[in-house]
Amino acid sequence: MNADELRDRALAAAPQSAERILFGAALFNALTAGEMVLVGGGAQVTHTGIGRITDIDLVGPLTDTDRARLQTMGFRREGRHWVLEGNDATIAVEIPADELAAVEEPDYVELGGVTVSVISVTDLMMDRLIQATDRTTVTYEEALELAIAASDRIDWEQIVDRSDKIARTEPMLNNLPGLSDRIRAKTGLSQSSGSQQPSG
Amino acid sequence: MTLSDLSERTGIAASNLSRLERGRVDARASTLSTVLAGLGLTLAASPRVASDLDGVKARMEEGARRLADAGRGERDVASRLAWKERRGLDTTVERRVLASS
Repeated sequence: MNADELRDRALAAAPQSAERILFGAALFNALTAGEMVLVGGGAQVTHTGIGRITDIDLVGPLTDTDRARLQTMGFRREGRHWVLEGNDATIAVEIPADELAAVEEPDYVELGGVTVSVISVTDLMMDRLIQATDRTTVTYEEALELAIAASDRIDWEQIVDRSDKIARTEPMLNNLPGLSDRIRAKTGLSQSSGSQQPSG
Repeated sequence: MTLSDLSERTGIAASNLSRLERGRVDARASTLSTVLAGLGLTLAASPRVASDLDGVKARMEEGARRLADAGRGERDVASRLAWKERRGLDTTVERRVLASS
């Protein structure tokens, strides 16, 4: 499937559907030299089936050549987004970082000969837990929803280890281990490691 | 095994091994192969294991169903369905979850 076909599939797909997210990511990936990885709300939708997204978050390097190709395809910059407008649909892509902060290899999804990389569910869980240390309801609910929806696919031992390490090195995130424990407990899974950090 | 031990086994300077370990260099495959051999390992390539769109959709349905089973989902799915319908968004997953619960 070439870039024009990917664009058409992405724009024709229903908003917030798996097709819109994945073909949108595949299109962007096809137009850039480096590997783009789907993260954020779009990744959460593909891992849980639940979520509301307004844009597609991708992480990866973007060169001047990539930017020129995106513009040739019809993307334009609008604030922090790359926006592509069709007749009835708009795709907005944000590149929040040029490097994926992950431990595991991404998941790969094949779409008609094109591969889309999606952040692994354990790395996404780690990201959601870090977001939830801000103690807001929205971020906590997102982390909890992912934990419940994908509890058996998440490497909780890794989550506990990484949470403890992050809390030791980043004082602002010292509530991370307690938060991880509480969220894991709500999935009904027993805890395999005794993180003894105070709850936050 | 220390970096010094590995250096002796591979003939690669410990300082270079340290840079490799910390991700400061982008090593050639031959260098990686030498380092891995020193660790008793071998460098091998394997095809990416990929799912397809149907697999992702099945995972999404399962996730949404689990949220419903956890006692949070049904009300949430119903409210999400209403929220999405008001905006003309895709509601395939929500409808399937509600129909089967």
